[in-house]
Amino acid sequence: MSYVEELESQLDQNFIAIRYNVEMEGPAIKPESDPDVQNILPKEEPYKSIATGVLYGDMEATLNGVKEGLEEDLSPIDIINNGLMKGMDAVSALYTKGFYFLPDLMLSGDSMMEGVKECEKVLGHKSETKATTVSFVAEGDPHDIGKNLVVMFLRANGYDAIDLGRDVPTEEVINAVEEYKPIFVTGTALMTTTMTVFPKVVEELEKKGLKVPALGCGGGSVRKDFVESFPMSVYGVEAYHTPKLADSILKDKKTWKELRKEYSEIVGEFVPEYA
Amino acid sequence: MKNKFGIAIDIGTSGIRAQALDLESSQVISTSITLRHPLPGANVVDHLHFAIEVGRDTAHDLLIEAINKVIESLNIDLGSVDRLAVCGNPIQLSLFHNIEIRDLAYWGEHALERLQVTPPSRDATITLPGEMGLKVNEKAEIFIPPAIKHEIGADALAMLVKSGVLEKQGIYLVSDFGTNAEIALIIDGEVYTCSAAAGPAIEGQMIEKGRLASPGAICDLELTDYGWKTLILDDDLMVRDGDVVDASNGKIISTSTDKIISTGITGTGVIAAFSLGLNTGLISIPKIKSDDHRIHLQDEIYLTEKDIFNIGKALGAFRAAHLTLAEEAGVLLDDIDAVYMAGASGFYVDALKSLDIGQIPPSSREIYQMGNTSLSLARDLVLDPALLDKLQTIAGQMRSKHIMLATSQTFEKIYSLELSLYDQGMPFWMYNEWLGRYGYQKIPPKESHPKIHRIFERDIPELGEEGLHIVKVGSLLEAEFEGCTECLTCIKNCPENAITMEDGVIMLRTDLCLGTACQRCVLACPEKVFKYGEFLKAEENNNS
Amino acid sequence: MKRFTRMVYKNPEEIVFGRAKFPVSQRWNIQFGAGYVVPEVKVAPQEGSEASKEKMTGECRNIAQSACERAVSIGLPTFMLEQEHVFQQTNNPEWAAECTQIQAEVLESYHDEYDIKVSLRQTPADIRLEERSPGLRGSDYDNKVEESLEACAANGASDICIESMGGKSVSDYGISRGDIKATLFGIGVLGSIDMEYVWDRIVNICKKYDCRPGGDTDCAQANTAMFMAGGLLDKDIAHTTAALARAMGAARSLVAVECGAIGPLKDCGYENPIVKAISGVPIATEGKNAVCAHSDLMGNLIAGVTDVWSNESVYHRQEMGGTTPEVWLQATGFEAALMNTALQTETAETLRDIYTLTDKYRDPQALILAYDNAYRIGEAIINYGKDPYLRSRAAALEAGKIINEASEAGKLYLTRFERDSLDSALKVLEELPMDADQFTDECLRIYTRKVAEFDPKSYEL
Repeated sequence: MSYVEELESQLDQNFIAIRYNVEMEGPAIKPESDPDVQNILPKEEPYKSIATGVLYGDMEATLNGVKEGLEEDLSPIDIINNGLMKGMDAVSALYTKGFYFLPDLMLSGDSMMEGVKECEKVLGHKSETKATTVSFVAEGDPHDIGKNLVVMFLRANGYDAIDLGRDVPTEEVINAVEEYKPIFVTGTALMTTTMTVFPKVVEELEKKGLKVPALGCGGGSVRKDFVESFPMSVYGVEAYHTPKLADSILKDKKTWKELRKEYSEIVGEFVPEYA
Repeated sequence: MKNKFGIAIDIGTSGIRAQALDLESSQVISTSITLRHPLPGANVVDHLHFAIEVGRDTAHDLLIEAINKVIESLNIDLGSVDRLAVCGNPIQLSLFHNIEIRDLAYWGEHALERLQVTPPSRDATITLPGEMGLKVNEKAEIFIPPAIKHEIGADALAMLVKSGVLEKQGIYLVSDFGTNAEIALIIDGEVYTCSAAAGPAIEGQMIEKGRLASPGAICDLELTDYGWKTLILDDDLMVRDGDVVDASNGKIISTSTDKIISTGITGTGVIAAFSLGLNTGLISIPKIKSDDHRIHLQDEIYLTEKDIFNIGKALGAFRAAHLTLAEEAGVLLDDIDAVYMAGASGFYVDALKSLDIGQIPPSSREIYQMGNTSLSLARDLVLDPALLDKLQTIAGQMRSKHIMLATSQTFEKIYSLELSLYDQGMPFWMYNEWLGRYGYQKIPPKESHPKIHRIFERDIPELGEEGLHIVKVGSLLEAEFEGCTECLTCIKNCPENAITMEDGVIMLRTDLCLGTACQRCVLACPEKVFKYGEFLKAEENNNS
Repeated sequence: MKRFTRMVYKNPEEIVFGRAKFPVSQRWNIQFGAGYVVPEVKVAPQEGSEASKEKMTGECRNIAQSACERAVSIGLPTFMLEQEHVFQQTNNPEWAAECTQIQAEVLESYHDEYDIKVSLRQTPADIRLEERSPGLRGSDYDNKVEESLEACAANGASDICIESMGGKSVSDYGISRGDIKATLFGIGVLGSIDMEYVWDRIVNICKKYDCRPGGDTDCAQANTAMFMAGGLLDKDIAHTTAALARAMGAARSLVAVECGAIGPLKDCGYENPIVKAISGVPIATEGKNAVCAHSDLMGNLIAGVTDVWSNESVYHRQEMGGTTPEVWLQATGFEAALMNTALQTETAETLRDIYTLTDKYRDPQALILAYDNAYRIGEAIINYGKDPYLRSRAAALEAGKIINEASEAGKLYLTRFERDSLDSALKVLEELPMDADQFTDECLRIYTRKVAEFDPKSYEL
């Protein structure tokens, strides 16, 4: 018997030495050991390894898990809902806590999307989602980091986010709205020369009688007062607000006017721009 | 015999700088600068947007009017001017030259196709004052240097030529830190360029107490045993000692013997505050740890957390751009032999602080602060007309590759790390871990003994015996709006105090106005009668 | 040259304070590691005493006198007095000679009068400068170090020690920038090379006199990492990284023993428990009674297997309880009495375990020096015993493994910073070549350029 078993096991460390650095910051436990993540992650295989693959942004592990599940004749819908989406839920939980950052989300989001594609191959059609949304970057503008984040957050939350890419002519946006019937459209622009297209898009939508809320987002030059200077549009402040706005449109049938009024409430945090 | 004169002009986003030269002796006679650009707006895209909205001719006229004012103040006989040379970025030079600008306003093919825009040639040109509207000897020649490529302008050519790195073996990083930073990485003569939209914070704009490098502006800070010492630009743009203050509450610890009053802070001053704040623990990104969450400097100049975030994003854009260039070119930042900083911001900033906070790679060993290379190239052109052809040859033969940051996957990944850092408080070691995970190089360790070469005392080395004139530019535009109730909401909402009202007539100063990017006056008007375009119509009527 | 390829101790349970496999005897009837722990006191001369030789020798006499006086007045059976030289003492070998002589006279008079077992340790300063040509070897400073060492040995030192600085230029670079490769090169390769140079010389000097070659410490490197790591809330460098540097330091400090140093090894070598586990020589250590000099996170644990218990250093001045030589000798003396009581009552192992457990999970740096873990690192070192590079790499990898195991067992949680620093350091270490020449070539290419002070000639590279 060494002292480790004899004496060490009797100790309560709290009376001897406290690692205040760990107390303050929390221990660097593996993401999967986080108690909230533990509650979210499925217990049974292959869902567990699929979700864990997404959690770590490990595309290979995710796809292996998905393929294994499909070979075992599990339903692709179950794999998406019980595996891939659970992994993404866990990622969101860690992001909210400040343990995960943007790049974690991007990597996990990619793994999740590849997994979904694999399932849809077997399914033969697109999987069921909460609803469809359409996102574009203004014509003449290449800056799409913001739009990519919006699309990622929406997909991570179970929306079918149609990504029209950058430098998208107004006509193409209108066509997409007609085709996909989204619950809302998001537009982003960084340049002052290109953001002027937003009111034009709204005008065209109105002309065609397409009453969809439009979320105007963007970098330095797009501001709330600009976005609110034309109808139907709502100023989006942070990319991660988008799914919450989407949920409120979908579940609570919020109109664009209500979104403008209740923005802070809907996204569940203080937003200085709306104060 | 009457003296023959030449005039060198640099049109920058933040103002016009001009110098009169004696063509016989090659001496500088006088220097005039403006502290604002005559067109409304805080950055070059604003100028572009303004020009597109109001029409190219109007924008051209406003610019020329300002240049005329500037050269008038040079105090030389403008009738004896033989040559002028103008340098600047492609947008400014196109506005000056009054050629197509829309190809610079939109990216991708759709907008340009719809508008049927054909990109113009931006090769080296010689034009005449009459054509441009410049009020000088009408037989004088105006030299306009070439752009290297569509995306890389004469301003970039200026910094490359003036740094002398094109002919050298080795790896060099050359940047002009402006609102839109031009950055070039040169590997044995092969040039990789990009332009990083750093945002106006870097020039002191969009900073609550910010202003451009001008008399009275705090341009640097020094840490002393007792507090932070401000360094302030005097009327000749020389750096003078200001007061020593306790930055956490603004208490003056010792007053400067120069008794110089500060009126604002430049981008380089903000960078200095950021660097000192981090080193002393007053800043813990994204927070300022003073009672009122502000950093206090002398004469009630302060910085807010929002200012710090804005400068952080700008610095993040630089660092992400450097990494992207190095990754695209397949070299390590650590292997860069020398770093050249051009422009006023790149001159007045303390290079050690730049290194500290990531404005230049931390591994920079040799740092050259070159000053205004654009003006200096214009000066060279005035004195040596044959240089114009040489520049065209250099531009034509340059092996160069432009990296469009907005469409670069590498930049997107790295910039998202910067956002995580400045917005979400991601620790820096984690940033480095992520670079590793992406398969990119890590941020190199800091060079312990960098050599800094700052040859001149000012960004413009010689002001001439007549010294420096500061010219106020911009027009006062007037408009009357039907239905205006004179509630003054527009005036209250203007962030730049550009609007005044007298007897129902609203007056707008173009040099102060932030232009089409702002429009707070228009958007705030409760009666919805404030029409920005009315000012410009009035302007056209005046001209005709 | 002898290299350790086997553990002298067959299992960690055997290692305890006050007992070493190879005890050391010195004049004045003192033994180390022979069944009792010796308290040590070390006092730095007052500022200003370096102004002249007379002031310095007077200062040294007073320090010795105070220590002896307190030792007999509180009943200490034994103690060691160590004098660490200031620059002037080493740079003027005649100062070293006279200071040593005067202290030896004081100690001898007390030994003669009270029969108290005493020891006089002299530690010249390593004043060599790598950045100044011709570097670490053959410079005037290098010659002065040698002359001073000999002056001490010839004038009554019981043993001589040094805190050699070889490899510091590169390890400082590595430690401050989190470049674990540079840290390994500086400690494991350059440090080990310079140790051979320094220690062959010291051992040869000692052969000529009644003076023992004591030991060295990785003060210049692993302690730099420890001080920079600071307290639990400091974040300049991760404590996990500092722990790896410590493990490397053990492979490097072992070289002194391999060259012929017999101990007790020098007090500020926190790596000494590892070296003792491998080589069986007695060691000096310092912890809770060295708080006058610095703060560490293993104040009790480091007493677990010690043979000489030291106060590290304190300025010569007056405290409320007396002068500092008196006060701090009393502190180390009473702690040694506790250990000696345990030895006499055959409860030493229990006290050792209690010492160890008070700090084992306070910090990763403490964890790896707990005697059972120190033994494991020792085993990793002797597995590659013949290759200084590979054995310091193995030591660091084993230390990483020990930290990871404790972390997985939920006994020592790490912060994200500590965790990620450790993971990335271990990744780098694992991927390093298994060939010392290849590693050295790579490092020479990188660090001759990056570290201005580094001069390969100083290591005959």
